[in-house]
Amino acid sequence: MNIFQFRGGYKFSIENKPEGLSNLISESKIVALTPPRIAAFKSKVSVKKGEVVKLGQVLFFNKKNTDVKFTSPANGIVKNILYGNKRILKAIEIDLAEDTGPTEFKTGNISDLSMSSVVNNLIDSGIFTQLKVFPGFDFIPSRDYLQSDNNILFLSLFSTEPHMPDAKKLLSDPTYMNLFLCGLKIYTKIYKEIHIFNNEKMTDDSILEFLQNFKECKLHIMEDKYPAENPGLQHFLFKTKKNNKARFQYTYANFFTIIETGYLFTNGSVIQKKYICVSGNNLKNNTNLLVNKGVPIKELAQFAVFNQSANNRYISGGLFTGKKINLSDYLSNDDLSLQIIEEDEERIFLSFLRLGLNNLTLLKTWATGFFPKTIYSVSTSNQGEERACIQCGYCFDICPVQIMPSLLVKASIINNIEKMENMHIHDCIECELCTFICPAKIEIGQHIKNGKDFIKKEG
Amino acid sequence: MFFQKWDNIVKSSKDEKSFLFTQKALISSLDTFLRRSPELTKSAPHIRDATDLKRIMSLVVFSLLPCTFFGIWNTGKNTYLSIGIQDVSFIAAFLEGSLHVLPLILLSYLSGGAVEVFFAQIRKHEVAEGFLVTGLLYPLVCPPTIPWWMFIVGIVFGISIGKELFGGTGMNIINPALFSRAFLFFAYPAAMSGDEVWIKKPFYENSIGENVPCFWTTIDYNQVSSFLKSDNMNAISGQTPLALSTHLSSSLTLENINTNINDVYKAKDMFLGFLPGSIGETSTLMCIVGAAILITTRVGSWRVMMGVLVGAFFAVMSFNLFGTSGLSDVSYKNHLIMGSFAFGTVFMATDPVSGPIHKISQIIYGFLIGVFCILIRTINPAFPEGMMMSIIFLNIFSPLIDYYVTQYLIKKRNKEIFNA
Repeated sequence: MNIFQFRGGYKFSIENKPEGLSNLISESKIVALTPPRIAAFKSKVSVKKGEVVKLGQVLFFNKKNTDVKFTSPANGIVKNILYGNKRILKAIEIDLAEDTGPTEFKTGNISDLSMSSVVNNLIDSGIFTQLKVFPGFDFIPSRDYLQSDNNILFLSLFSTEPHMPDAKKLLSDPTYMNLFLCGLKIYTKIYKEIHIFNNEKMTDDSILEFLQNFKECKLHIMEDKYPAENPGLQHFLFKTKKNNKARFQYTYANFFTIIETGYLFTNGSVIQKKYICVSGNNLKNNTNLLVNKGVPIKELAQFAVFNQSANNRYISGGLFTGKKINLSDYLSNDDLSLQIIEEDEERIFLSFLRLGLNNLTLLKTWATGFFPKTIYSVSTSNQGEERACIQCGYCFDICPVQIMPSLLVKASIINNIEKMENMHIHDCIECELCTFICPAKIEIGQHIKNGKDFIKKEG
Repeated sequence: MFFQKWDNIVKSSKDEKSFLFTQKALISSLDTFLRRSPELTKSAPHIRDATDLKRIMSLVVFSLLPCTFFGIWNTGKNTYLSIGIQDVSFIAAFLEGSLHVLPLILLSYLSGGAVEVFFAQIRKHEVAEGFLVTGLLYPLVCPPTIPWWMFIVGIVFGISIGKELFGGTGMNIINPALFSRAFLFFAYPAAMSGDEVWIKKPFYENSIGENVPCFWTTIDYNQVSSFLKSDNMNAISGQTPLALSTHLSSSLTLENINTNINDVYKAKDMFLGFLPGSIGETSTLMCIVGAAILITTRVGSWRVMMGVLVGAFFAVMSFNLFGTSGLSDVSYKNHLIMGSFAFGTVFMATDPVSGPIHKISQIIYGFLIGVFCILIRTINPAFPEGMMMSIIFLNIFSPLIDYYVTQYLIKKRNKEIFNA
């Protein structure tokens, strides 16, 4: 068994880590399906307003690639189809109704299923859209790629980013464990190699037994620090290990996608639940949560927040890679967690002369830097204003894939493609640690993303 | 309350119609200096490290404080020594020193700050924090005898030509404090170099032997006259250690130059800094304290410091082995504690802006600074001190070192990943 160690990175200990596991029974009579927040594409809606839809029925798909289908999160009636600017689809709202019954998918004995029928089922149920291809992060794999000989799947069972849902909490429940193993079995039909990453040795007997039977699945242990669960980093480590053949493309999946697949093939319908975690400052509940797909964020906020009128920031995803969302949004497929943090505009008097007893820092410039076991509280303050780079080199030290962030920023500003590619801009895994640590408060990650976009645009 | 009024001032300075608009850069800089800026993170990551440039620069200033306080005391002490008073209390020496040094520090911050604000106003951005360090470094590398007008000309020239012309903090090629000093060194050589040591005349002195010569202490005139007749006078009115070593090597054909230097200046005094010289740089011990602060907080690069030490040691050893003139026999023990070596190593060479960014290049850069410093000291008799010249020289070369190290690192990485 390989233990992957990497340079840079940091193990964050941040307060309000979600501990429990609860099941939120939704009260609202409305759910919605939203297009993915990361990839924008031209979508074709295949239902009309007022139409009765079933759980798992296709609501819209990608115009250019009809394999990319998005399916209904519940049984009900289409209440409204919302469009944004330039008629980009924003959401399809559905009024809940009980009677219709879910769309049935063909199931059977798993070992008898052929590969093409598995792929067809995955595509029709919309689970397929939750598999992502790296490099790129926002691409969905093609059917050809799935059926090719050198496909490969990465899967992480842990999270080091504050705060993302804890897989082990859910998998300690035997029903979900069985679904998970069933899902893995399905994917062994498609993928030639499945690499499962964990941050500690597996102790669960059922997984160990499974791994012995299915040689396609390999278990690896990652060093327990952020961003160990990032598939880009895992791929990078694969490249640098001498024994492994580097492949350009690979897919990665969230562990709950595997559970969804398992549910699809055992029950013949799409699962209606979603596993997320809710955490943040001043919350009633910091917990892992099973909720209905597509519930309004407002309802989750009601469940979690004391004071909804406070100036809160809602973040879908972790504190490092998450995206800001609005209270009026709906829970989309991409939302793995919901962070609710109060905006911190406090103007601390002579803040830079203080001792710094509760300042989140990876450096030794504050007192907390000398106590690595401190549990920090977080704030959305920028902690200063943007200045010119002083070449401190902190971003070089923290970067887990060993690129040179501050030099890349300079190359990106002048749009020097040759220089950017020379310095391996495509290896950037967008973990945002460089932006986090920069004392000049330069948006390093944004500059690098701009550089990547520019290269993409120029072809 | 104060802050409510202040908030109004800040607000009106952002209004184009207000008369305060012309002072926008100054006011908003002051505002964020007093209180943390209210800015929020725009996108991912939603949290940020609490360290900003203000913190880093204030830590450098903090690490400079031991040198500053020692320099103040030492200036006062030497002032009293020059008129023959040996037993002077700590407080009296410190107060006398403050009268000489504090005005310089104040002038440096005011005149240099004015230049910074002027340029910030033109560029329409805030005053960068790097000036906090430059404003304190500059007086510490100047002699206490420097005339005030000359001092102001130096910093104004240094900040405007050495830093702001290149684009301000972060863009400058040469350390601005060092640049200012180099300007003075070449523009007014009589005040900045030469063999004589720099001792300030007492603040309230008429002439030695008359009454009321000093402000802070009473004087035993017997002690003064006996001191003036004694040999100890050499130590305070003679030459600096470096000038002395140059002088010794040319005039005397003595085998052991080290004993001769240490006859006049004891190694212990040179290490602790009880000699006249530039205000802040006499004491190696205080520089070591500063280095300890810089290294524990990871603000200064230990690689550069180590590089300078190793480079200097290497150069001295080579000269000791192969050198022919008397100067090349000066031992590393004397070289490392003489002149501005320690101060330059700890505070000037580690400046991240003018130094290189890669770890490997930091070691190369430091090593070359050490070598060139000893080279200039030993081979070039016109410059008894080589630290300033060698740091400026390597400042100019650091982008080149960085370029080649970057190429090397990229190649190494390609090899690791793609040929694996």
